[in-house]
Amino acid sequence: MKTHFYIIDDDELFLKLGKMYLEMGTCTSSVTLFNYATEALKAIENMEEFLDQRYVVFLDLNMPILNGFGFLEALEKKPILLQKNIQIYVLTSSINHDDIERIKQYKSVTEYLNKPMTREMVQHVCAS
Amino acid sequence: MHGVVNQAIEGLISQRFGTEAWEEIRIASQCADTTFYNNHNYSDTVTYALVVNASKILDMDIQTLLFEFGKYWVLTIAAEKYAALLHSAGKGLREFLVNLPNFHSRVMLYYPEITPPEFKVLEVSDTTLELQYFSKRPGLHPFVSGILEGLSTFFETPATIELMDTSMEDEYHKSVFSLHF
Amino acid sequence: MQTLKKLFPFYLRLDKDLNIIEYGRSMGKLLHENGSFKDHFKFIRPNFGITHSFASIAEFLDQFFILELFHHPKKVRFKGQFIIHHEHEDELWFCGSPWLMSVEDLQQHDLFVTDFAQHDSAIDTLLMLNQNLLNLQDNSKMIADLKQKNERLQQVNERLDAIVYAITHDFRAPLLASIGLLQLPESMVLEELPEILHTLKRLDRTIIHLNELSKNEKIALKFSTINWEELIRESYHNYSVIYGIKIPIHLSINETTPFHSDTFRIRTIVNNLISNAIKYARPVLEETSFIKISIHTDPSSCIFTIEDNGEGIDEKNLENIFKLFYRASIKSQGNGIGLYIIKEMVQYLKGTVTVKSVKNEGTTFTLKFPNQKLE
Repeated sequence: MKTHFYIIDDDELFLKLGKMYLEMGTCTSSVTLFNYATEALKAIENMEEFLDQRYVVFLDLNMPILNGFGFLEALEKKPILLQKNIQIYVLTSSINHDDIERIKQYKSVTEYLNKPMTREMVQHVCAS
Repeated sequence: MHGVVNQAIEGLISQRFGTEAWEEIRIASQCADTTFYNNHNYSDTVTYALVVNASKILDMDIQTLLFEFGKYWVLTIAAEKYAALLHSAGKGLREFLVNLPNFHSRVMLYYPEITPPEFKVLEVSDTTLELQYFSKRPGLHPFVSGILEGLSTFFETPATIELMDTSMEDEYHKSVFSLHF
Repeated sequence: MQTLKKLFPFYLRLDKDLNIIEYGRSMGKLLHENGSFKDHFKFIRPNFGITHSFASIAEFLDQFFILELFHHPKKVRFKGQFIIHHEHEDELWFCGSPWLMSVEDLQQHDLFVTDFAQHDSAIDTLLMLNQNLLNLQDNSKMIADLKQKNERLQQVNERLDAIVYAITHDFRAPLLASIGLLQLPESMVLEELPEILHTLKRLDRTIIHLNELSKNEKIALKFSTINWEELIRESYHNYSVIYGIKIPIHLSINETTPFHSDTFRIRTIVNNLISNAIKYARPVLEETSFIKISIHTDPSSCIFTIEDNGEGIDEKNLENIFKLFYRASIKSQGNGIGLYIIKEMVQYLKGTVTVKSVKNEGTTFTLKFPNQKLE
């Protein structure tokens, strides 16, 4: 299924890396990069959906201004957003126990993944 | 040395020269304790180090410092913590000193671990007393002079205090004071 | 009889009708006349089944008594026992001493240690009370001391937690990025090598920063004359090379007397400030970018100001910028340690630092240091 990818990360390098790997993937339709979770939130609110297309978000946790948790809080507060066919993968360098536990509370998160992105990860996401 | 002695050193320096001067002296003496407890025993080395460093840093000679510490101990620390106790030992300085050896023995009941000094008092005449001070520690007679001076003020008994002699008797450093009322 | 009198200076000698025949020298300080026992003393203990009669008291010879001299303005109490003298069987002797609750009571009654017999533990009880008070004082001091140490420990722990968290995140980020880049297909990897190098250097700088932070607490203050001109030019040159940009710098030094302070810390502070000024310059300004440093020294202090026309800091972030690991924007290529170090070191030198900034216009840091005296 054609997948539109969003990567939300304050680190330019990871954005670039993520884009490179996703563009090598088999199911990628588009890749959009966001430095700020606030902007990603706005984009998601405004986007139009097509039923035969999939949307996957890779979300970093540790970002200034609005971090990953803040983004998820905001997202889950707006039920209409949850109806959209969006899968959220947390992609973080954090191996902190408290962070991992805390993420489990968010229903909108599909899986907790560790950086960096790899080819196998892209395949795995495409396949789900 | 008993905690209250170090308290006198800290107290006098902080009061007269400021807490920064005290901190400097304390650190120079490698004294880790920032507070001295009434009923704790501290090593003599620390007390001596404090006095020596205070003398260096404040540019005062050791004898004068010890004298001031003695006076301060009576007029500030003892007056605050032991006033009633001191008064109970005698009416006026003369009576206090005559009763001192006995009283001192009694007080030492509560401090089994310490090395106290010993006292002998001789009533030379109606107006003169001789106080003999025996200590296992050297060089403390200026401290005792200060204490006697302080006691004279505390008991409101004017007296002329003079150090007559110092010598060794057995393992004790003996100092003889004459008090004229 | 003499022996008894010596051992109990507060003795009372009563006849068959309970008249006071005689009393001890010390008792004489409190009781000033003879008369009937009943007129002066009342029984506190035993208080049940006893009357003021010879026979009644005789029944309680195996018990201890507490008597109160109620005539006395301060109502002194005595603890002791009654005995019948073996040579005078029609006499009752009270042998005891004042029962006092504190050493101050002695003073109040004009009594002295010498008024008590040597063997009498009453005085020792009082001395022990005094001891306890002093011990209580010690305990309070100890508790206060422990509380303070606990607080410090908590602070240290929090800092440690923050550092560990930052390490697992901030330190991993550049490493993971490098790993990610190195796992790309061979053809792409070569292109990314400069980026990998840059990232790893960044990591190294973070570690160095963290080390500087720990050094602050360990290196003793050492005062010497600060040569501002030399220090600033060196720092400026170093960071211009590191960042590969040359921003026009204006230096104005005004010293009426030399400035003395700790060179290591002043240098670290200047390095961090200049590094920031260069890092956050606005590329769009090109040659109109500037850094202005002005220094003013007088006998009591030195005021150091550094002004730039770079990116500036958002007003809402201003109060947080000195916090450890705080990064205000995604462009924060830093690790959030630099400004924290500046703050810690300024504080260590007993100085002050303030910042003024407008987003997209520029930032000014003003620091004030006390001018130290050289040994």
